[in-house]
Amino acid sequence: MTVEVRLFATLRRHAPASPNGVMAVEMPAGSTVLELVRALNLDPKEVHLIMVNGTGCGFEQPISDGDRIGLFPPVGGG
Amino acid sequence: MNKFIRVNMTTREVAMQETPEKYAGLAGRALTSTFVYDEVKPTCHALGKNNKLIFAPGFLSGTTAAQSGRISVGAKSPLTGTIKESNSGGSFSQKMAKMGIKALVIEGMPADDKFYIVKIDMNGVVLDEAPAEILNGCGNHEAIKVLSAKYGDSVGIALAGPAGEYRLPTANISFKDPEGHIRSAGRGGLGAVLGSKKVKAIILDDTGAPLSVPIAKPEAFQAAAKAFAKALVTHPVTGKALSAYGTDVLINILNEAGGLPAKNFTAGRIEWNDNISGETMNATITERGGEGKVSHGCHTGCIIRCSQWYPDKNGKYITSGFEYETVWALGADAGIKDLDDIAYLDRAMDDVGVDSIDVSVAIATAMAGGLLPFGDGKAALEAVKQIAVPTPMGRILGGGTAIVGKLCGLFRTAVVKDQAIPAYDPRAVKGVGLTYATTPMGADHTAGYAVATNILKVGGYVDPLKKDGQVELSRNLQIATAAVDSTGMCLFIAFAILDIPEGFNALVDMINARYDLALTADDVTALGKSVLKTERAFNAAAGFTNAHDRLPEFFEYEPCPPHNVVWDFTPEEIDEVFNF
Repeated sequence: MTVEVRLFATLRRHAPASPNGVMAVEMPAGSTVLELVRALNLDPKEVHLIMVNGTGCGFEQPISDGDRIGLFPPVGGG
Repeated sequence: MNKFIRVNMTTREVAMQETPEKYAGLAGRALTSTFVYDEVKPTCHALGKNNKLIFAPGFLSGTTAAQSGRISVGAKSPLTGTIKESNSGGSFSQKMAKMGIKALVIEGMPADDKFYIVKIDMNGVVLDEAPAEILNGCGNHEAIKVLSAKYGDSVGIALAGPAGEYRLPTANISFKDPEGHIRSAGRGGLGAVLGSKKVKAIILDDTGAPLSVPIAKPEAFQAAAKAFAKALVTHPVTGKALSAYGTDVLINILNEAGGLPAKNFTAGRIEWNDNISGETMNATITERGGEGKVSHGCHTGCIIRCSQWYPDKNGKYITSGFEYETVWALGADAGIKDLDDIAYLDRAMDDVGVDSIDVSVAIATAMAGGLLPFGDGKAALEAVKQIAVPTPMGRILGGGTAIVGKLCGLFRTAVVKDQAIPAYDPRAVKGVGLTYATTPMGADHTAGYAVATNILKVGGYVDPLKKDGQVELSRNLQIATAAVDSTGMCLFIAFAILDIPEGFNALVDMINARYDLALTADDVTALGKSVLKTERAFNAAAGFTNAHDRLPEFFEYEPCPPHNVVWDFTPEEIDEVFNF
């Protein structure tokens, strides 16, 4: 299956070739966010916020074909 | 810190008194709101002679504590008709505290049309006539240069811009920052109150003042200040993220969460997010170099450094304090897709002295109403510059979002108590919606920043799309914020102290060491509750009821994509927020 991954803030350094940190990633069906993070060679400790299709979730979240997955380090503002 | 200064603009008399006993234990927002409750007639006209404007540093201002340089300003608001506390960075708070001034009150109103400068130094207070060259449309950047040349480069300045002179409801009070740029007590039109009293500027010359305020227990204070700074440096948000990307990092987060209000609150996500994101702001500043700075502190002692200097293509400074809420309103809500256009608008709003949230949302509303072409940054800039004249268009935009919505005949006008709703859609970030509805200030995200817990997973996690837990979250954050706003601390310390208990304890320890007190966490909570109850009592006496604690109705029946959620709290549930 193919998912759309969006990396933000400091995580974008792991995807220098992808404009604005957006990339399509092939994953085996039934994968979780944690498996995706590992496949991308990201350190899970660097990932603080996970959103699948705009909804916050944890590493254990299963992902499906066509999902939009946003990954953020700890960030804040206001 | 015991001088309580009253400047009566009717008689032009100055009274420098000892701080009255009942205000001795208060500071910052706790002091400004208690004073306004005590002395301002709730039903007065905010621009009339019975309103009073009060400036107060916080409990920890003037100390070496990190982040302690916020100044609180209070009055009845001409925008909302409620009580108002608006706070700002800059050098004013630290100077005021070091000069031993607990509070400065401007009251009354002169019969003539002259504008004055209130100049305060260690010898007392003098009223000068304002120089003609800074009146009638002179921008704040130039006015600060003129006043610094006249009174000295290192003085603190609080200033009413052209919008304040014209008494527009969105007029802010601008404060000179350490480099001579501008910070603002932005919300609620307090610049119009200053202008109504014919005070163009307040000058603080702290020559001869001690370098620090007196500390009752210096060793205990130093230990607590160190622990406090450690919490700020350790927490990833206050220690790293805010200085790297500024608050504008939120564009991509709220966009991803589907809570970024777009096209006058008709959607929660945009496709051009990377034109205006914090990542792009950082990359643009870095690439252009010159006078650009990725991070910058708005006051001496700031170690979070969320501000920046945004330069033009040639590396020349355009603006600082280029905040998420302004970028959101112009970039997503008004659809202006060019960050440079937005930067020039931010500078222009600082220059005329208006709240860059209310006027930016007013621009988006004006675009929805056909007064300005949608997404046209150049047309919006020309319109904002007209506030300095002021043309009718300038007055309309300076009137703020509520007025523009009425003039355009729109039901989709994003305000609560006539103050613009900022950058987080209440349908998709429900906790902050409760804050907008119920804070005594009119719609204000900072009054109880539930976004931290709903979206950023700071201080725990409460699902932003569900109602569960939101009432308690908004209530507790509003109570904590009222207390933090009384300390002189930047609200961003909350990111660290919500997650790191030692940081919160150090904050309380610093106050105890400064004044030789024995406050506990419960006392801090009690202070926050007391401030909110005082503010709400003022509003009740001014005619506000629970029926005013409601969001605009369209949020109840227009689903917000991509989650297609509506605002679904019942009136009874909303009223529970202030049931304490």
